[in-house]
Amino acid sequence: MDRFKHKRCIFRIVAAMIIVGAFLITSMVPFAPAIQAYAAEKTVYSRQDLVDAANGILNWCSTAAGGTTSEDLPGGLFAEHAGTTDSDWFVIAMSQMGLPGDYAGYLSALAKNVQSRYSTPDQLSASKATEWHRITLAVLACGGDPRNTGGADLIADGTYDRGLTKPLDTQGNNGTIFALIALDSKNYTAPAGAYEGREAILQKILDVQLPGGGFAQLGTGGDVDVTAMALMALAPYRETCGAQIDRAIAYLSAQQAANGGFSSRGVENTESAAQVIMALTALGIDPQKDSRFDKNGNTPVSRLMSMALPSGGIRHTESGTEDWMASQQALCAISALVRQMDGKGSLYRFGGGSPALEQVAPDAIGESGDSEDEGGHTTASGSAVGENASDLPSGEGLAVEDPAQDGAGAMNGDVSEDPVDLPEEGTGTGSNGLTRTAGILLGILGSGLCLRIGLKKSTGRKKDLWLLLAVVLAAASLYLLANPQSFEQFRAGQLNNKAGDTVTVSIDCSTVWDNEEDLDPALTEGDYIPADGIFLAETSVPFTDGETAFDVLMRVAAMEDLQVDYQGADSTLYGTAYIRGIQHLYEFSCGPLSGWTYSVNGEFPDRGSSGYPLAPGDRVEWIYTCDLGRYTDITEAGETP
Amino acid sequence: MRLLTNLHPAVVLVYIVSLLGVVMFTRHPLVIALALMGSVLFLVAAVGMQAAGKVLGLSFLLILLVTLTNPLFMHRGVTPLFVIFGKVVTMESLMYGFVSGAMLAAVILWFKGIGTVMTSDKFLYLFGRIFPKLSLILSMSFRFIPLFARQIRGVYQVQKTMGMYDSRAISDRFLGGARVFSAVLTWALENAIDTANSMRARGYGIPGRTSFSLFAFGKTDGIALIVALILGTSAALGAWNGALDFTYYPAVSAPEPELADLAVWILIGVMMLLPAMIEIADRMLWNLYRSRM
Repeated sequence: MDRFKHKRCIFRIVAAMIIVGAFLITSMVPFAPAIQAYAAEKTVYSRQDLVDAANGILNWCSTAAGGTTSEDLPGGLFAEHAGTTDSDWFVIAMSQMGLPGDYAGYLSALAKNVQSRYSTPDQLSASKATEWHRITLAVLACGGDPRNTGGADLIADGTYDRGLTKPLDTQGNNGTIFALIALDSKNYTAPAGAYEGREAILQKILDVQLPGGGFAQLGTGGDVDVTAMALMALAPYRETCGAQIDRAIAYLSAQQAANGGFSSRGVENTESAAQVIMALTALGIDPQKDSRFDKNGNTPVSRLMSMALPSGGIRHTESGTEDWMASQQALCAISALVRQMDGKGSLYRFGGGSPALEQVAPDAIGESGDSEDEGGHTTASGSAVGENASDLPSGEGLAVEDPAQDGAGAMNGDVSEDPVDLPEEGTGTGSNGLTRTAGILLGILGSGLCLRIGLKKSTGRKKDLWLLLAVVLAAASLYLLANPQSFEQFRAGQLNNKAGDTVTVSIDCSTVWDNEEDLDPALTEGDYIPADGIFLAETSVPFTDGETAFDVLMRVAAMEDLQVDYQGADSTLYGTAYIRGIQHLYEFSCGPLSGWTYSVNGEFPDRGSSGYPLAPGDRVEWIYTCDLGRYTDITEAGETP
Repeated sequence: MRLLTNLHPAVVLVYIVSLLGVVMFTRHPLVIALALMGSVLFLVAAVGMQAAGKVLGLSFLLILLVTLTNPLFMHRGVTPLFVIFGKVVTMESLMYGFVSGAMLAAVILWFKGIGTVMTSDKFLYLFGRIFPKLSLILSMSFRFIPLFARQIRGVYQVQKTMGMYDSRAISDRFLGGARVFSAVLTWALENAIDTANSMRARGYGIPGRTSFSLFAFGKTDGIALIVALILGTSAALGAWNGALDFTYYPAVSAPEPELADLAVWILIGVMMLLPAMIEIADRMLWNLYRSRM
């Protein structure tokens, strides 16, 4: 008798523990990222930490250059190098952080430098438009007027009229990107006769975004630094280019290494992390708190701070010693962070309100022809935002807000939300997915136990409670299993990829037009089938070894915002996924023998797309057939690449 | 006596077949809304608010269930709302689910309401000669639900008298209900076989068996039949002409309505609301007569 009681007691304790555990885990899942951050002992750097680091960097600078720590850097040591990459960024960062110094001295050195360089035929540089842009920012940082520095109008010559001499992107895409940054730095406007205005420059930047969301200096390989710079340029245009910004952020998030850092040209380095920090602060995102840039408690900021050496200087890579350029860009990043904490605008903004797009046709900006929010843009109806733009009531009649200012303002308070409403990392991957699985299992187990206790061991109200608990736990597991997420989160999850390889995908339904009489009238009436039958021309898609044709289709669908419906691999007879429809064109939409087929390098595989692993460089063609993929259609379609 | 119960069964059959045909073969929201409205009014007029209330509650649940289930299996549509189980839930599939649920509810409510008019003896009269077995099964299944409910109530009351279900726990009452349900289900299967056997013992279905019924085809029946045929044919022609077309996938859209479509919709509206109107007029007439007594 006693032993029996003992047994029951143990059973009850174990049951209680499992149920409590199940509850804890299920309730914790929504907070998993936050909990993980704490579990990983994430260090959040305070304003003071950052200011100390900045001072450390400046101390190292002056000692490294042979001076003393008390030396006034802008007026002294740096003034000798005014107008060069050696010191301009330092001065911009220092001034924007509010550090004291003889900025007037630096300004006059800058003016002299500009004046002497303007006497040469190439003026500031033969190929680099960014010379004008950097000096513009430095002049503004010192309180000068870039419209008249050393007798030169740096804004006109460097941005909207630069194209008269050489295209902005002669040196690569960063020329165009920084032109927009310089133009927006204090909201300068291009006059009516300018070579290219704000819209044209913005459109040029948007045009060079790569399919994976990144940007490249030259060519088609995305680069973290250039992507971060492009984000800084695009940040004020969130309303019109939200989709492009989202994709670029998703690209950066995917490129982040486990230690929180970033690589450029295959080398993990401080400068890339610094550029990402500057981009995120410009977007109003807190790089220390945002879960997309938190890899197990490592953020770009923690990575940057870990590169500081005892002398105060910053390393370029893990194994290096103090590096001038790394220190310089780290100071810029720290300055941007401090500005964010102080509720000031992004690093490259010097007042003048928000930049205004003078005339924006709904289709001019945004993905080609895909104007979702028609008429959603308000134009700044002729409100000429000139040099004295600060006189204008800020925000009045302006097309775009400055997210950085909004966001930074909000950062002052205790804010956990991202000002830019962006998807978090997608479907259950990594440790979050593991927590979810554990939650589901424990929920089912707990539910079963409650059911057993309720039915066998209790009566009356207690029985009610146990059974209610069982139902609640079962519902919680179902909820976790269903993993509800917003469409944007879902798409961002599909985009996530760190790959360097690519494959190409095209989607072609031109056979529909040969069988037009069979086409579903609902598709004929709406504008669903393009006239040339090409849903997607051959597009290069990031790809990781081991991924299947199906995975790549899903990624390209997320990239290009295509609708894809499929029957999962678990519910088909063949154990591979079946593509039911693409872009609302389904199986049987065009006669009883119609549906989607695919070919890889011109060959039609003998199995479903989720069972067909691709190799880098493969050419995948999705082809709609109206006659079960019989010979004629397919050879015709397959022959035209 | 009610006008509808006095009509010849064939007339009622023609009317109800064309009505249900229209409801079941279209997903046009206007038609479904009219059908639902007509069935609710008719049911309330025929059996009263109280008896109709329970069925109405259940059909509301049915609509909810279908609305929520359809998006789990159908992912077509241009307006993504959110994602569950890794699949997209679209507004179009939700709307299609809602209209389908309303259609099912309307059909169930029509059957329920028509059951009070088209009693099983009328069924046997119409089909007993031609399809003896089928009409027997049909009349038995019409009878089944009320019989089942009555039996459940009976068994439950007997068990209560025996001292069961005194527990205060809600779950006990649920579990007791489930036990009664399973017992009555077994009984129903056995009862169906018993009924079939006893009908056979009475010589049902063998040739030469006569049965008495008093259904004369009068002038009223003739007019009613003509009305039923006109309404049914115009609905069929309208459907042929595309007046009942409505597209849900990929985007919710309907063809531009023409004047002819409008006429078809009005006729369908008449078709759906006429039974309820007749029933209500009957009720008012009866109350008027009674007040003069």
